[in-house]
Amino acid sequence: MTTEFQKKVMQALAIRAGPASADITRDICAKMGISPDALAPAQMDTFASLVEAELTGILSASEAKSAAAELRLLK
Amino acid sequence: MKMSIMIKLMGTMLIVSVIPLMVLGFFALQDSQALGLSVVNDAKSIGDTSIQQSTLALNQLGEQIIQQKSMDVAKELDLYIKDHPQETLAQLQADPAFSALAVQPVGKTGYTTVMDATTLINRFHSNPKNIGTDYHTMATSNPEFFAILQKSGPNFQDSSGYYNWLDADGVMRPKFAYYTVLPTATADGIRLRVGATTYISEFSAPAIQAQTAIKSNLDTTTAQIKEKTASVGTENTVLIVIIITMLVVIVVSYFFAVSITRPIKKLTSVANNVSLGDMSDTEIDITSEDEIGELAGSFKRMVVSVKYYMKKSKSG
Repeated sequence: MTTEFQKKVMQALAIRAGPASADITRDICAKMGISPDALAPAQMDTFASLVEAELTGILSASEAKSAAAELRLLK
Repeated sequence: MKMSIMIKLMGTMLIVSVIPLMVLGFFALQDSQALGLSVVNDAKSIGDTSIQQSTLALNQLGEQIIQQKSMDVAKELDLYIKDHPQETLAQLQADPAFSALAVQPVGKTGYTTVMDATTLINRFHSNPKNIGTDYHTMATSNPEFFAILQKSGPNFQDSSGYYNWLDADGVMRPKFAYYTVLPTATADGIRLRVGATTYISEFSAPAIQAQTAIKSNLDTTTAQIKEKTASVGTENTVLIVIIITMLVVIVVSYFFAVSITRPIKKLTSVANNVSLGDMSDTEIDITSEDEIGELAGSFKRMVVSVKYYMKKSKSG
């Protein structure tokens, strides 16, 4: 069951990563050892850092950093 | 035929702006010529009317002056005869004072004459050779003139009118004559008729001169208007304006077209690279906040997704 918070996370990520955002979320949550449905605001710092690392190389470094900062604002 | 968006945009802007300008220029040129000629025609019409009225007024003034001269001389001679009731015609003809009163200038070239009102024999004239001549001979040589004398009738009324006079140069010129019969007869019972006559053109000459001056000015103005409106210079001005407009439109439309086509070309290039699997140059630096900016943002997200899945497939 996807919560309102998780939807916001998906939308924020989709603005940067497009249709792959759902897979990115699932992969990072897997790295964090949680289910995407279990993603909570308290975990956003870790989640954001992992997203930045994941997107670096795909986006420019500054864009990856901006995407992480936007995700941290959601917590 | 393949045409780029830039050519289409520039061509459209050029056509939309220059064709109306050319049509406008053509009609403006036509209208300016028509307006100029209309002004000249109106001025000519006003000039002709004013000259006609002026000539008429001056001719009427001349008629009045001639009439007045005839009546004045008749009055002077009548008073003289009343003062000298014993003098016969022959005595009056020998009287220098009477002759001086009888023959007086009229206008610039005319003069008064005195004839026997009944027999129409010339008795006083500026040219002595004409004294004694019979005006009846004019009935055939100058019927117009003789008709004026006949108007007087048996009651010796005043008569006047125009007649043409053949000058020494062979040209017929109009003259006006006014005849007044003295109320008092000479001692031998002869009624005298005073005639005053001269060329009517002496009075209308200023109007004729003004007409010539106006016509000359109008001809000059007409020529100038025709020259200015129909000359190569005016056409060149229109042509220069059109060329300048074309240049401005080309420059403006070029930059406008570039602002639209450059991001589209960039997106096209990146899309081609991605479609061919080349992810080395997928940087999209389009920041405009319009429809193209939105398109670039959407495309960029798709590229990020493709890159992510390619990275994932390589690592997995």
